[in-house]
Amino acid sequence: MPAIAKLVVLEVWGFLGLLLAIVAVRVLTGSINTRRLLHGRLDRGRLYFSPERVQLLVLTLGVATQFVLAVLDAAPAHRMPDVPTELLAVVGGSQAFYLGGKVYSIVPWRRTLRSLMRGGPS
Amino acid sequence: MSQVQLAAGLVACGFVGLLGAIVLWKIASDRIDITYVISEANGDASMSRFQLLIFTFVIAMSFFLVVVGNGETAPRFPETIPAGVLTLLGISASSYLVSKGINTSAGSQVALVVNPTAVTLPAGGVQQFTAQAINLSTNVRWSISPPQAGFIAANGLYTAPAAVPARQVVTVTATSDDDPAVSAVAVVTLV
Repeated sequence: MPAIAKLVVLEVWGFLGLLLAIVAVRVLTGSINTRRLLHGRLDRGRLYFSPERVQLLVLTLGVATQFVLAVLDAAPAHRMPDVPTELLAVVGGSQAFYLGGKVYSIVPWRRTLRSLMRGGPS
Repeated sequence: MSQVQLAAGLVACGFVGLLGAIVLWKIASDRIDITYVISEANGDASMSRFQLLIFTFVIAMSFFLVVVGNGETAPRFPETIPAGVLTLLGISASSYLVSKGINTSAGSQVALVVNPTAVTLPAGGVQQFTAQAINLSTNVRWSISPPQAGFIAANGLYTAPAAVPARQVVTVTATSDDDPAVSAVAVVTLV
């Protein structure tokens, strides 16, 4: 590898690595606001613990880790690994579940729907 | 590689390195504030932003890793970017956009208003304050400033001090129980 290419590589690795380190440290120390990351708000602003956010967080970290492992395998050949269709479906489903939960929590008809499911008046 | 190419490469390399160093230094010294980089406008952390941040980071770093290869051969771009990678990034970014749209449709901006906003009271006078909230519950904590300038009950009923030696301005503050960052004020003028 030419010397200048090595310099560029070092430069980009340094930038990405330091940026990642700063963000990671700040997330862990709370300097980047993560308050209520796993909470949603109902239509009148009340907070609730949100399982849809938990599953999205777990799945995002899992998929990201798996992708990085695949990249480490394929990178020496300058090849970007593909993401299996099944995994994409899981990611899409997880995101849909999260967004669905978000819509469900904010719409005014949530209380009416809940009443109907209980068999009571709306 | 000619001398001109080498010089141009070194200049470009120096410029990009300097730019990156400045950005990192500004982030580290809070001149670029990233405290709320994954937060909504109301101060709540946002899962849709967080997952987009993670996927963007991972894919950017992965792409660079692929370009570098094993470090023995010259860096080069991959011949193709698989559709699955683009789809993954697309799902992540779309989810962020849809989430933002839901927030906007729902009016996720929170607000608190105290009524009345200004009132004039004599010594010993009382005034009932109420809180109105948008996208928050009306559960609030009442306080006054200065603290010795009368009394405010948990239901927002303010009682002026028995004696008012001189005209005085008291600030009544309602702070949301749901979100302590959200508050509203009213002004009482004691005469």
